[in-house]
Amino acid sequence: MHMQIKGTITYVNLVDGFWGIQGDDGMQYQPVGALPANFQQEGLRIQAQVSPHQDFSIFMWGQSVKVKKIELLQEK
Amino acid sequence: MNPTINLHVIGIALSAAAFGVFGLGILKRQSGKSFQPLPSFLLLIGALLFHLTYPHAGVATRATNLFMDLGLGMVLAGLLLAYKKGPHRMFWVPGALLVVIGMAGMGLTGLFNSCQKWSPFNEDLAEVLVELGPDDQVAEISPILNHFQAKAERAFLEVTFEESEDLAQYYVVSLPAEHVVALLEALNADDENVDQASINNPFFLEEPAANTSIGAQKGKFSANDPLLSQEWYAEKLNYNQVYSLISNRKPVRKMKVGIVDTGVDGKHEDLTSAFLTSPGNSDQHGHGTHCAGLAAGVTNNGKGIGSLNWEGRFLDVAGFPALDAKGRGSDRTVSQGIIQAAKAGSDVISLSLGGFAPLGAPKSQVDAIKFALKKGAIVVVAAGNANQDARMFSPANIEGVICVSAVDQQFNKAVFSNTNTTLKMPISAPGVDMMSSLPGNKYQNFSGTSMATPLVAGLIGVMKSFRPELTATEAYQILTKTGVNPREAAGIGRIVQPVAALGAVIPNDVASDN
Repeated sequence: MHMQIKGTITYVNLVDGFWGIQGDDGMQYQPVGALPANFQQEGLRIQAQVSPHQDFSIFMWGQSVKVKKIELLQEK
Repeated sequence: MNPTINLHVIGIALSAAAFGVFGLGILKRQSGKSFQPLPSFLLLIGALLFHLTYPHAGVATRATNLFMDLGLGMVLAGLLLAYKKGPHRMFWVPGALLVVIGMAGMGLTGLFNSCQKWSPFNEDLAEVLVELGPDDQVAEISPILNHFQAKAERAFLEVTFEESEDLAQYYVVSLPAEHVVALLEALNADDENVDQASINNPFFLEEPAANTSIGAQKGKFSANDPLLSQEWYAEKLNYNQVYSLISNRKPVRKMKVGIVDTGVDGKHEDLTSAFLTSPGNSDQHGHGTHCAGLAAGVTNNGKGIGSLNWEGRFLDVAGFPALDAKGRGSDRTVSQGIIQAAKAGSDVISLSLGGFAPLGAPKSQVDAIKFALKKGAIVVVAAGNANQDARMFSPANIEGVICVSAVDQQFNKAVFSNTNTTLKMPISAPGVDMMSSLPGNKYQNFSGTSMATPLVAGLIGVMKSFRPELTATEAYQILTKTGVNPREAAGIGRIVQPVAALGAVIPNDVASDN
C-alpha cells in the first residue's frame, strides 16, 4: 500500500541518530534505510511516496516506511 | 474445497467444454449436419484468458497450470467423444502429452523452489508469521502453502507444546513477495486451522557500523571507574550512596539480566567478567552493548563506566539477538529473543526496542511476554521516543511489563520520550546523553528511552539479588513508592531512586564482608 505524504525533514538525535520525516498530518515517518544524501537537510520540505513497514527497532520513533519516491516540495 | 482445487476445476471445465463442444461439432458435421465452431472457440479463448489472470502464481506456475488444465480438458473431451464414437484420438493424445509436460513442469518448479536459497538481499521474498489452532498441524494448511509456493517452519523451535501451547503453534512462512497479500487472505480465511497470520518483515545482519571512541578519564567517585565522572545520572541518582550501601554486601543470589537487542560484545573490558555465554555474544551495531553497560557494567574495576553492579557481584548479563546491524528486527525476531532470554533463566529481561502498533501488540509478542512472565522473569520495556503515548508502541503496550520513560538532567521529561498515561506500570529514569560501553572497548553517549530502560532493569536486578522472590508488581510498587516526581507533571510515572529502592529490599541480616 503506497501513501503520498508531505512533510519536513528532521534529524532525530536518538541513539546514533537518523533522518526522519515529520509529516504535515502530524505523523512521524521513519524511513527504513537512509534518505538520499541531498535530502538529509534539516527543515527541507518534501513530498514522498511511501509504504508502511511494520518493524521493531531501537528507534521507536513513528511509523516505519519504505520510501519509494521523494522530491522537494515546491511551495509558494 | 480449498481455493487451489477450485481454480483447477474451473480451468479443466472450461477447456473440457471447449474441446468437447468442438468434438461434438465435428461429429455433427460427419453426420451431415451444420457445425458452428464459434462457441467452442469462445470457450477456448475463455480458458486461455482464465489462465492468464490465474492469481497468486509466477510465469512457470501459470504455464504449468495451463498445460495441466488444457491437457486434462482435452483428455475428458476425448473420452466423451470416444463414448459418442466421434473423433476422440485427436483430443486425448495431445491432451495426454500436455498433461505429461505439465507434470514435468510441476516437478521442475518444485525442484527449483526447493533449491532456491533464502537470500537476505532478495526483496522478492517475504515472510508471514502464522499461528495455528491448538489442535492443528501444519500439514492442514499445506495445500494453501503449496499453492503460493510457500515454505513453513516452526518459528520458535525453543518452545515445546508443553511449555506454551500458543508459541509452539507459530510457523514462519517464506514465499515470493508478490503472493504475500493473497497468502495472508487465504490463511486468515481458514478459520478452521489458523488463529491468525501477519506479515513478518525480515531483517538481516549487515556490515558493522563504525563507532567512535571517547578516551577514558579519571573519576571522582568512590568507585575507580574512570568514566563515572562523565555519567551525570550517577551523580544525580546518588550512585556513591548506592556503593556505600552495597559494596560491603553479598547478594542472596546473583541475578541474570537478559538484554534482548542487537547482541552484546561479551569481550568488552567492562562487561566480560559479568557476561554469560549466550546467543547474542557479539554486537554489530553497538546498541545492545550500550544497554548492557548501563544495566550491569562492572563497577570498581578501574575500567570504563560505573553502574549499580558493584565489582560484578550482583548481576550477570547475557545477550539475546533480536535486531540486526541497523538496529531493526521483525515481530518474530523480537519474540524469539524474548523466548530465548526467558528459557535461559533471565531474572530480568530488558527490551530497549519497539514498533509503532496503535492497534495493539502483535499476538506473538504478547505470547512471548506471557511466556517470560510465566518463567518468572520481570520484563522491562522502553516506552518509545516519539513524544506520544506508549500505548501506541509494542511491546511497551503489553500487559505485565514495566514501561520506562526517559528524563533529562533536570528531571524533566526528555523531549523525545513517550508518555505513559494508560499502561499499568509506568516508571521513568535518566535517558539523555548517557555514557556507556560500545563494542571494541569503546564508550559513547546515546540518548533514548533505550538507555533509561536498562538502568531500571539493572536496578531491579540488584534489588532482586537481595530479595530473589521479588515479583514484577512488588518491584514496581517499590520503585514507584521510593521514586520522585518529575519537575512537571508529565505522565511518565515517577523517577527511580536507587538508594531508596535498594534500602527497601536490603534486610539488616544480609551477609556482609565487614
